[in-house]
Amino acid sequence: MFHNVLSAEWAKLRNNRIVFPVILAPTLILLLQYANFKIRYTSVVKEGDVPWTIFIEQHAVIWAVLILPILAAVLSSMLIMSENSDNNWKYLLALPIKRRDVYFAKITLVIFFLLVSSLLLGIGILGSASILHLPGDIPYSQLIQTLSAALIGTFAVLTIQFWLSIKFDNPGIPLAVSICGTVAAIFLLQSALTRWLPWVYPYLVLPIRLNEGINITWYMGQSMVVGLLCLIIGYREFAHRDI
Amino acid sequence: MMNKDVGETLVATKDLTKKFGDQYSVDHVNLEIKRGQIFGFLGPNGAGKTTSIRMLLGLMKPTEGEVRLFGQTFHKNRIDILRRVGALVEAPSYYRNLTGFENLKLSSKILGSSNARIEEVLGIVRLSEVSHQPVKQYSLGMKQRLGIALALLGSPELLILDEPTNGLDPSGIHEIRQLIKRMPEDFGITVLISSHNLAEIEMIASHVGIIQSGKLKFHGTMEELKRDQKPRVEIKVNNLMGAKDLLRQQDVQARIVEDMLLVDQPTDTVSAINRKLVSNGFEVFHLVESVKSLEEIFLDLTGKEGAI
Repeated sequence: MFHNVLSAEWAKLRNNRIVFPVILAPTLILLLQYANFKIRYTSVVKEGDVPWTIFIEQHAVIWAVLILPILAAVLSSMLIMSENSDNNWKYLLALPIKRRDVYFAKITLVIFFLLVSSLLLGIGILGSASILHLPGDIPYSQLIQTLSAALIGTFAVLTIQFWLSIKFDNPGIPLAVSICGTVAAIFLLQSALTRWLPWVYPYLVLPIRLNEGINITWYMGQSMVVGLLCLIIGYREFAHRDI
Repeated sequence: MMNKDVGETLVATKDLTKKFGDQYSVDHVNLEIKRGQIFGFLGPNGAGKTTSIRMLLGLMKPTEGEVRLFGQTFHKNRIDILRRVGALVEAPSYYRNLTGFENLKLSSKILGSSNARIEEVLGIVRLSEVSHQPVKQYSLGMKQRLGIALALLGSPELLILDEPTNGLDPSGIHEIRQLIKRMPEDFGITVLISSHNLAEIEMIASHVGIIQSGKLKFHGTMEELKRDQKPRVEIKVNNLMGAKDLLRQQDVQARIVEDMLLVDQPTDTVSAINRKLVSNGFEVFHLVESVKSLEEIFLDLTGKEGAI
């Protein structure tokens, strides 16, 4: 049954332009870092640095802090918007369908698109490095670890954004929360006191030199726990709500 | 298919109540709809029709009372119940980026209907020719027909249509009315149709429930609704005041409206009233026994402030 709902949700995305943010997000970073390394190579890569490590880190930081949380919000919003704005919940949920299946099918698709986007970024990094003739062996495992960590760190933000998107008919509200959270994260990162805020997890889980002294595994765990909690609360609220 | 358990109760509500804050939106409503009926759920805007329907479909939880569809409650049998119901609630826009066919295809994945069935329902609502156009290009009437096609897709036993003709032009209304009339006979489908339009319900419904401010004011057949109403007598006479006084002496209550004398609850026959007047020297030049129109009955039941 879940499979049927998932396949119906997938079919809804035709002509929905969902591909646009999925491709645009990694492309933006790739172009930015390409220019960064093309023009400022000597000031970015210092004596004794491993160019590949710097290259991956430079991509990962912006990706995790700025792009992934907003992408999660935008994708959640896009997948839920048509139900909210066009009054389709009443139609959809009067079908012989479990609310649980609808909720989890939609969030599964959001996660899938985040994966695709991360994958595109990974491939793009390899392509960009080869155009730049970056010296040294390609550290595949470092690349995969960094991008996976960013995804795990985003899980809490994702479940919160998804919940907000389903909760509020107006897509402006979850998007505003997302932007405020992301901007706040840049400052809140600095202090250990504010590191409980979900928007800082995507950065704090990155296995990069800037995070030395930070227990990234702990923050991965924190992201998963907070994420699962919000997933369950969001689902329960949705399941018992009057449509 | 059609004669399967005629008389079986498909929809039953017991003291169905929904409160929003202190406000009763639906107030202890008891409905009963049997197989084969076209049940018209009639009431002014905001009377609680849509709220009731949302509870009938399990979209909303009643504050109090119970809903049973096919003898089952939503608590345990939600999916089983909804499999046998097709619904159109509050005119959704559907998925505008998709074509009509694709919208039906989506639902068919959940209902397990075949492509042949999709073509069939498109034919029933006469959308076959535009089925491959995006829904955003559809007119309101076409969207409503798509809604009915979607409701019919799973071959339901019960069709619940909330204001299906809202916003349609006369030919669209006519078309949908014809379609709904066919349901019990041609497809064996029992229909619940809500409307604020009395004329519409009068034309298609076999049974009617009238709701006002959340309360069910009448529940029965169309004939019962009309039968309950006594005719009233209109009299035109040369001396209105004198005639009124005379009738009062004879225990007939009359009132003067413009140039006419009205007897609302005649205890005597019309000829007896006439004889009384004529034998006392009045000149009666107009005497009619008029039956209240359904519209007047409806307005009496729902109050003038909630006019259609």
